[in-house]
Amino acid sequence: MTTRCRNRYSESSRRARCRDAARFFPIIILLSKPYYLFPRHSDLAAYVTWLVVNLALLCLIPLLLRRRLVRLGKAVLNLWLLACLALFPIFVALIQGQDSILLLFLYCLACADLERGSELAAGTWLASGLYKYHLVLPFVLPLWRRKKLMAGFLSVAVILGFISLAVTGWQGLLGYPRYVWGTEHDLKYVLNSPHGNTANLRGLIAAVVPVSHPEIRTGLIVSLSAIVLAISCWQ
Amino acid sequence: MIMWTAGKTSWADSSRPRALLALNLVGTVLVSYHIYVHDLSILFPAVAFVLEIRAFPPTDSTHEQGGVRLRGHPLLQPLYIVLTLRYRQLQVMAGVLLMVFLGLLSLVRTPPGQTAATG
Repeated sequence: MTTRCRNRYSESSRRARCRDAARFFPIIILLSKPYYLFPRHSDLAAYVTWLVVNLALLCLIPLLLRRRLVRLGKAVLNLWLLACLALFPIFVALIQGQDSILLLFLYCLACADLERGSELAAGTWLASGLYKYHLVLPFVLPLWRRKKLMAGFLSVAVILGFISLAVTGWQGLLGYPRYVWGTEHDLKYVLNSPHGNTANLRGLIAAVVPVSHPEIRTGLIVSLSAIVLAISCWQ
Repeated sequence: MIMWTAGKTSWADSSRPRALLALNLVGTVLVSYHIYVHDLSILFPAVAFVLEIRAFPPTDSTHEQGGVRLRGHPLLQPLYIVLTLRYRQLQVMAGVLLMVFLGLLSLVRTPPGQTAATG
């Protein structure tokens, strides 16, 4: 969201937009802070810096994964790096300067720690990815029986919650659910449109069920999502 | 590719936790209320785990064979590219992910020592 701010608006409106974005994704403001260190807020310098950071994280991912994979781990490192870059979503994230690679890196750290048996550390890494909470909470929920993991997760989540509160205040925090609800019903919020660009159950059902039957659509999304979550929790 | 690998080989001792992690990752993508193409990058560990568990018999141990597995991984890319750039119908990917989810579920539920016919 902050990247989108940088690209589309003039300096004054961009700052306002970024403040606006920070209101809704408060933790992410910590990532965008270094942007203001660049002289005259150079977009190119910020983009190149973030690209370098992303590439560095991408280079670390194979080191984390291949250590634990007996068979795939035998493949040479260069091939792993090529495989990372060849995954289209990763390539898009690099080009657009998205923060998804950071989340991927945190997931890899968590997976490595889970395999090593360090559940507390895994929980803290997963909580660090809460800036995209909708991509972390469904992963953590089925792991609720792992007490150490949940302890690590909740402790970092509480800290991040306080930081978010300090950034936005109560007004911003309480206004967030209303904002999300608003994006569902206002076409100007293209970011939350399920038409054509969302590879999840919501997008799939939206493509199959006609717009004239919103109640069927909602019912199917809720029930199918509940089934998928229940299956994950049950295993 | 994932579905093909998911039905390929026998169960390894350490495979169940990895299959569960992959199952969780795919499930997370499916139930997430908002997701763009770049967010699908979190599936990379799931792809690696599935390939590790099911792609080739455990007796394969040479560097070359490991390399072949990773070379097969980019075969997924045309699907992403065509759905995203050409047709703008990325939600079709959710159908594929749903089938992968079911394949992984079958893999997780198969008792150790048996070969699951999944995918």
